[in-house]
Amino acid sequence: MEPHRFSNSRCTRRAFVLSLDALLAIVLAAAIVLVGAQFARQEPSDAIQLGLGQTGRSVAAVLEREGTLDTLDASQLRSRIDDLLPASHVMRVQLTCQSADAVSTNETLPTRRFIATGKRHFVVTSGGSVTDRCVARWWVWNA
Amino acid sequence: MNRRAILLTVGAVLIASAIVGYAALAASQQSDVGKLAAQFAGYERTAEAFDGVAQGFVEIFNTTSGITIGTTNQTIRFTETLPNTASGTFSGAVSSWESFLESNESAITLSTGALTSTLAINLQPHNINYSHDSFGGNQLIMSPSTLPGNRYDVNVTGSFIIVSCLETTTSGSFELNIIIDGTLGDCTKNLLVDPSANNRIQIIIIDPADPLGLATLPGFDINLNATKLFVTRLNATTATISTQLWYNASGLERREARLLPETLISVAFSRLGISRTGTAILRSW
Repeated sequence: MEPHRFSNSRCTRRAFVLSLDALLAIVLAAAIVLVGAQFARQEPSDAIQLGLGQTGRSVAAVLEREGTLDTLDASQLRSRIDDLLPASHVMRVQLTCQSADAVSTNETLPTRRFIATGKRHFVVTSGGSVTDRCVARWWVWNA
Repeated sequence: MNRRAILLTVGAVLIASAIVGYAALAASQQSDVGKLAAQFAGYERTAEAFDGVAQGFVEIFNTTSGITIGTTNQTIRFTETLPNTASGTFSGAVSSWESFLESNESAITLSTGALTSTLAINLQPHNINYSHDSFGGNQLIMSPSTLPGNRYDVNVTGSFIIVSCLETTTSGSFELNIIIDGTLGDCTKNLLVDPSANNRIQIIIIDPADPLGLATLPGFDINLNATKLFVTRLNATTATISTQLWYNASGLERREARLLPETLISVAFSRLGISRTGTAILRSW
């Protein structure tokens, strides 16, 4: 009877150790998955988001300074944006003015993707006078 | 067997703790980076709003003020008519810009009162103001806190008949060059004066209202007093005034001409806790 009791106790202990190991393995795996998820969740990174915003602001500023916004012409805007914007980016610009009709380059905004956005106020000048006051709203995202 | 199991268990617990700790640290740091990124984006948004408004003022000035600014390495020249006939257009454009902005963006407030009343331009780094007694009035003023060079040039061109130029000056080493060009007659003076004293040149013209053309009266007054230059239209018809300030040749400094007041534009995004106040830079050279 004695050897049997001993064998039963050893079995129980071994089962306990195995269970504990299994539990720890699960905890370890969960920790690894958590850490992985933490990094995976950061896509796109803050740097990429800020970069998109800076690109949008820079392009909008150039369009204003060189007078392209003043044309209030969607095709001219589109053409100039294509010149200025990196190929990996897409930008939509919409102009809303006090007097003139609204103008938009009309790209469809994507879903489930980070979109940087901003706006810039500007005056429209023509023939030596101020003819309108507008706001340019822009959206930039990765293609 | 027992000892080995305990060691294995303790080791596994340590590794798991390290990984979970690292994850917590990374999450915390990521949160800090996220906050900084949001703050940076807020600054960028503020800068974009400010820059657009300031650029609008520059375009309004260039298009409607009737003042042209010319610069070289050693000079800055302002040219406009006196009285400035564009003052009403400028004030109207500023007022429309102000109401457009304030109705479209609650974060933006403007202080345009002083801008439209005297239209003053500040020159940095020497802190020199070019302004008017009232914009659209009869006097313009160049007031340096210290003179950056050794010369002023004043050119006046208009439809009047010059009889004489009367000068009352204190001699010194500062160059004051005056060229008055009328329909008939002109007056050119290359004077060496003491800029800290009171120096006056008065241009006497034929009274434009006298049908016989015999009566005379003072048409313009150019006064350099305590380094300040005043050009005043007294009785002459509208004339073009060009005022040029000279800098010392040594300057490699970066110079700016800015609209006053310094608090012309205010952008405040209270939700982000970010604000910026400043003015528009008309030119840097």
